[in-house]
Amino acid sequence: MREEDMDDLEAFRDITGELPAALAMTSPHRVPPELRSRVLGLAQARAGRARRSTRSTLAGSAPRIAAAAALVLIVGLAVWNVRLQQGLADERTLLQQLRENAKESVIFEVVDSPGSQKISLRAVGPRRPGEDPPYGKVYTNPSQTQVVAMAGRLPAPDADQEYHLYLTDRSGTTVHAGPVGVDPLGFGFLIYETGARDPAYAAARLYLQPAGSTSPGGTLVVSSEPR
Amino acid sequence: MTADPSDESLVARVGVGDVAAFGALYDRYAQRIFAWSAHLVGAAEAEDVVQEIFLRLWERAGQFDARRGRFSWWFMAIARHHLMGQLRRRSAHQRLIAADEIERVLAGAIAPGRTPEDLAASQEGAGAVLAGLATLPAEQRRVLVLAYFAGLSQSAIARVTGAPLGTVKKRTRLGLQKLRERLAETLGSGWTRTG
Repeated sequence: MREEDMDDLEAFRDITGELPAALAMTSPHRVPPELRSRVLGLAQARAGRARRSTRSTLAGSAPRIAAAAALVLIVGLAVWNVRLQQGLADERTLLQQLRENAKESVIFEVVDSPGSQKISLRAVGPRRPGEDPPYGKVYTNPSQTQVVAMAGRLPAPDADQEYHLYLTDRSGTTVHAGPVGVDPLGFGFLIYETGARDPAYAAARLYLQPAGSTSPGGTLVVSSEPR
Repeated sequence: MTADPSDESLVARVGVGDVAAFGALYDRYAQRIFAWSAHLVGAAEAEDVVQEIFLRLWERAGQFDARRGRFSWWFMAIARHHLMGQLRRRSAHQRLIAADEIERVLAGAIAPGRTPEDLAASQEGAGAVLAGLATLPAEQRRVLVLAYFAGLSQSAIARVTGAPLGTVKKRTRLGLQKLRERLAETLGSGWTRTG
C-alpha cells in the first residue's frame, strides 16, 4: 500500500483500530487456548535471556582469563601449584553453571534464536472432535545439536498407542526421533538429540501407532508432506 | 471493587518486563489478531503470526507513547504491518479470496432477529463498528475490507472492482466517516480523542 493510500486509514485510526475487534466478534476462528502459554513462555524466556546476558558476558570472558592465568601458573608450577588448582576448580564451577543454563534454555535456543529453521506439519489424519485440525512444527538451529518438535490439537491416543516422530534427511534416510507425549489439550513436544550441530531435515511425520514402535507405521496424523 | 487496568497502564508494565501484564494484554487482543490472521493466512499459520506479533509487543512496549493515541491503535498498526508483510508472499488472488470471506463474515454479522442496535450495545467500540460495517452499503464495505484487512492499494482496488480510482477513494472516505458517526452516536464523541 502506497503512502497516499495510508492517509485515510491513518486519519481514521480511531475506526481502523477497532476493525480487527469487530471482525473477531463475528469470525468463526477462535484462538487456540494452548497458544497463550506458548507465547507467554517465549516472552519469559526472552526476559530471562536478557537478564542473563550481562552474566553471560562476564562468564564468557572468564574461561579466557582462567586459561591465561593457567599458562602463567604452569610456567611457575612449583611455586604456584596451589593457586593453580584453586583457579581450575573455580573455572570448572563456572563452566558447570553455564552448562546447566544451556540445558534449561535449549528449547528456546533452538526455537527462538537467529538462524532457526522450521518445518510445518499439516494434518493428514484424524482430528479432535469439534476442533480445528492438528498441526505441528519441527525446529532446528545451525548452532544446536537438538531438534525441537511440537504439535497441537492432537487426538487423544488410546491406552495402547503413542505418537512417534520420524525425520527424513535430504538423502532420504529416515530416523525415529522418539515418542511424543500428549497432554489433555492435545499438545506435545519432543527434544531429539542428534549428536551433531546443524541438523537438517527435509521432511517430518508424526504417527499414532502401537506403544513402543520405532518404525513408521500406524496412522499418519501430521506431516510436512500433505497428501 | 477495582476497575480493570487500562491497556495503557498494562503496556507501561510490559515495558519493564511484567509478564502478568503481558498476559492480560494477550487475553484482550489475541482473539482479534488470530481471527484476522486466520482469515488471511489460515488457522495453522495464524498461530505463528499471533506469536510473532505479541513478541514484537514484548520487545517494543517501551516505545509506546500514550500522548500519540490509544494503545489499541498503536498495537493494531503493529499487527497490520506484520500481517501485510506476510501477505506479500501471497498472490493477489489469494488476498481477494481472503477479503471475500472477511466481507461475507462482516456482512452476516446481523443475524435474523438481531438489530444493529443490539450489536452496537454488545461490546463498546467493536460492537458499534461491527454494526456500522454490517449496515454499510456493500461497495463501501468492500473497499474498506480490501484496503484495511487485505492491504490492497486504492489503485489495486480500482483494478479488481472495476471502479474508477476517484470512486474508490470516495467510497473509502465515506465508509470510514459513516463508521465514525456510528461510533460517536453509540459511545459519544470523546471516543475519538487521542489518549
